[in-house]
Amino acid sequence: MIRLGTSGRSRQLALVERSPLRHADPRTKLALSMCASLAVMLSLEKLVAFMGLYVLLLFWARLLPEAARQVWRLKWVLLVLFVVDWIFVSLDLAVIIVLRLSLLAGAFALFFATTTPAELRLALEWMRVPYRYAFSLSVAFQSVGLLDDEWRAIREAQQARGAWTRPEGWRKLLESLGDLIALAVPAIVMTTKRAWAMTEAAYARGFDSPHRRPYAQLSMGRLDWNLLAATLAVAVALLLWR
Amino acid sequence: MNGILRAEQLAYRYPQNEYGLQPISLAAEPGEALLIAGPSGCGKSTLARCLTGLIPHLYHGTLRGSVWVGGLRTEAAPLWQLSERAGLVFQNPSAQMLAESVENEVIFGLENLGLTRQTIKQRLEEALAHFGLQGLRQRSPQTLSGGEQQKLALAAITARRPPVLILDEPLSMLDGTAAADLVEHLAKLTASGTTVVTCEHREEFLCDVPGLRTIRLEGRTQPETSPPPSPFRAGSPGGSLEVKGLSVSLGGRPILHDLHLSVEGGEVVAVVGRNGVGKTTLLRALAGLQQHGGTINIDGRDPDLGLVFQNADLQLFNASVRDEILYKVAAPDPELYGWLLQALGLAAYEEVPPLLLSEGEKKRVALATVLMRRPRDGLLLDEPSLGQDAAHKSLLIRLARSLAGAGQRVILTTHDLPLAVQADRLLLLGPEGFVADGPPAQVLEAHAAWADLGLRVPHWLEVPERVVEERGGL
Amino acid sequence: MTDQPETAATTRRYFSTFQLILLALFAALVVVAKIALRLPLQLPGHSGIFWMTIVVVAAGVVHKPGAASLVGLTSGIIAGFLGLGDFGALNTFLSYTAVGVGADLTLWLLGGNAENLMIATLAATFGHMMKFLVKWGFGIVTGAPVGFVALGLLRALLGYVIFGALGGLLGALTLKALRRAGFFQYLAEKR
Repeated sequence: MIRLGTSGRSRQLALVERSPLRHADPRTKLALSMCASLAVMLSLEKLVAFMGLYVLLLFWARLLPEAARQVWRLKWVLLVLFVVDWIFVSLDLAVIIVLRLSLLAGAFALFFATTTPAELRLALEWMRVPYRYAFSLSVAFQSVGLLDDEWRAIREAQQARGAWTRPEGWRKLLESLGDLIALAVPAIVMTTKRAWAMTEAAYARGFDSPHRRPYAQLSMGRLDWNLLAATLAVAVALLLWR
Repeated sequence: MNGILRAEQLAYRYPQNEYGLQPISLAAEPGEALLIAGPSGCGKSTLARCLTGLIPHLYHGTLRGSVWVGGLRTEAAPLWQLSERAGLVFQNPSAQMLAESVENEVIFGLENLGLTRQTIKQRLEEALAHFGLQGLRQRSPQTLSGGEQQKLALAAITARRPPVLILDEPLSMLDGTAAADLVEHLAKLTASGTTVVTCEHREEFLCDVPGLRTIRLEGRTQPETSPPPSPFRAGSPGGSLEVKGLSVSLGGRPILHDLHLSVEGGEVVAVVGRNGVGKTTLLRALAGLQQHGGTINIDGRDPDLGLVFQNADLQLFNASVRDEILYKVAAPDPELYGWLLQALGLAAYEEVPPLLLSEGEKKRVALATVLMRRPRDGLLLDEPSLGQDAAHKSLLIRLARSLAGAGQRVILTTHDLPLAVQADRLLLLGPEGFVADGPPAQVLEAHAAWADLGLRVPHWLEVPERVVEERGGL
Repeated sequence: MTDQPETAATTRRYFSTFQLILLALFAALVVVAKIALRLPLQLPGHSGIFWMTIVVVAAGVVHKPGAASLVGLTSGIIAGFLGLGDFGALNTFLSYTAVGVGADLTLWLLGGNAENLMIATLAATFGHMMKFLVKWGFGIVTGAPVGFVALGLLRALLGYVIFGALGGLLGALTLKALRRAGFFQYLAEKR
């Protein structure tokens, strides 16, 4: 679970631990999500069939609530598009557009709701993404909460000395553009110091060693092969369907 | 000279700075314990980085002389190889955490040694067991207390089994108990043959390490000046600061619960407690920055208390110390400004950007920015001794007395007991509220209260005779 | 005596490890700003002020083409994990990445000086507008009538332009303030 700071403010995507996909290899989940995204190119009949299978997959993976939540956030956009397309073009177009948008909105839920940043890092390394970048991505994930705490502390510290007041409305915003610098400069300085401390800490523990051997390793299990085989079968069936 | 660690005529100068490290030679044998002592800004941290090779590999600047560690010359060998010979534990435990779990924090350094999975697992278990971290293995390092984080940093380095361990001010952010625990671990490491070099100005904690050899670095000499008379005129104490039923929750977790406190004008109060018990939250509530239950007032009105934050970097952004102190101060008082520069030892840095000052100097600039606004009812200081040497701590306490002499109240939170016992009144804060309150000598005798909170009073701690300060002067 | 030893930490690499970590933390800062720093303006795209400030500052601090793109890419991945954006993780990822690439491209075309108020403002405006292009692209892929999508996004586009420009301006001003505050001197001693 990634959480923002200690301020009580939160934006979190809790891992769905109960999902059977939690134990699948991140590469498999990435492949599934990408295939689902590509399905937007299917014709209406094929798309309807695919969506049926996709909903079944989400149901089996206990991810239906997560995907539904994502689509629900689009409800007004979908509704307006549906009505306008139905009135001005056709019902077929209205249905296909709503299905495609829903699919795109929910396609990656099965990856992000069941994968940790550490697993993502392993998948990236497997894809030959340089380890230094994968490492930096992983420290960025660790730092989200800390940076949130720092933002809050900076705002309070500047507020305490009268260097920052929360702007209300347009005019105040323009007037206080200068005050925003009183927030931005300490934030950039502190972030830079944290980045430097992390760089030193990493090198003090042998970062960049040519002998590095990763402890955690990805492994494809029976579940992964079954999922990939099923995906391939669906893809072939959709291609052969006339 | 021989030894596992050796420096010959080592000196370093940062590219933008006249000062780094003055020439020094040293040598250490396996199992030896060295203390590098000296005032703020004398180059302790720079030396720690030179001894591990971070300087010159990660820093521009001019290095003179040589360092050999485990037979390798730091200038010539790559950093990953040097890190196998000398491990470095940094000052800020939170800033050196790199992984998403305690377990992975230890594993990170072991992976870089190229060990097999089995060896990594074995060393991981040993390190977690040795430092009592088994129960925390899946926790995020950022959720640990400062003491636990520093133990984890030590575990992550020592699991790599470097023959030399260097620590850069490892105690400065720890409460007394966590500091004592850490020192015990260091003593065990030297007993097992590791050379331990500690750069630290809380020297008193290290007196229990057997065979400790001290090397003292010279600091920058500050010109002795006698500050002008304080502009804080002696005044009659104002009303009492009354805190009733103060409760604070953060993210649904109760931090302070039903706290009651009364502080008279003219008092210097120190609040002591374990890391994470809510000392900073208390100050934020008193400063009006924290939503809370209960009431806080002076004579029925909201108090105006200036808060100096623990981390000065939160505030500083101007182009010079002068701009920083005078920023957004309507009608600044030139007498007060001049006095603050003198009294806080900042006169030489008036035109210097605050960002380029040392941590201790920055804290004093932050203090000046708050005092320049003349808070009506007093001053709140959050961990004011962090990064300050003995001379500056003594300056700080004299300043507090000067403000108290003018009828204001000063409330400081600290884990630095030698500083805390110089206050008029010592408050011991535990998870259930204040468990002891009174003159420092009396509170130190409340052994049961200290023990209940898991705090230890070091055997070397002495309560100074109450110095009768000349009111209004430094 | 030595000034600059050859070291694996620094040699023959486009971004040093410090720069990579710094850009990654700037990316995390983008996400934090996007969530935490909401101004009471009730206008779409206003979080772009802080977002684009950070992107411009990143490009000015790590003064190399690609810095803003890397911030965009990394913030896109983090935002995807945190479930930001109404159109799903793919749209979020592409939008964040496009913002970085757009800012980078403009900076590169205009000579790369992120401290210049005009250049920074243009780079941030164009970068922020890339979000619009990604949404438009989504409209095309799904087959939604382009005219309608454009109409629906017109109000948002205005917000993207205004707040992108303000963000760029604030970014350049922040860079100037950082220079006055000695930040670049502090940075100069680090590899």
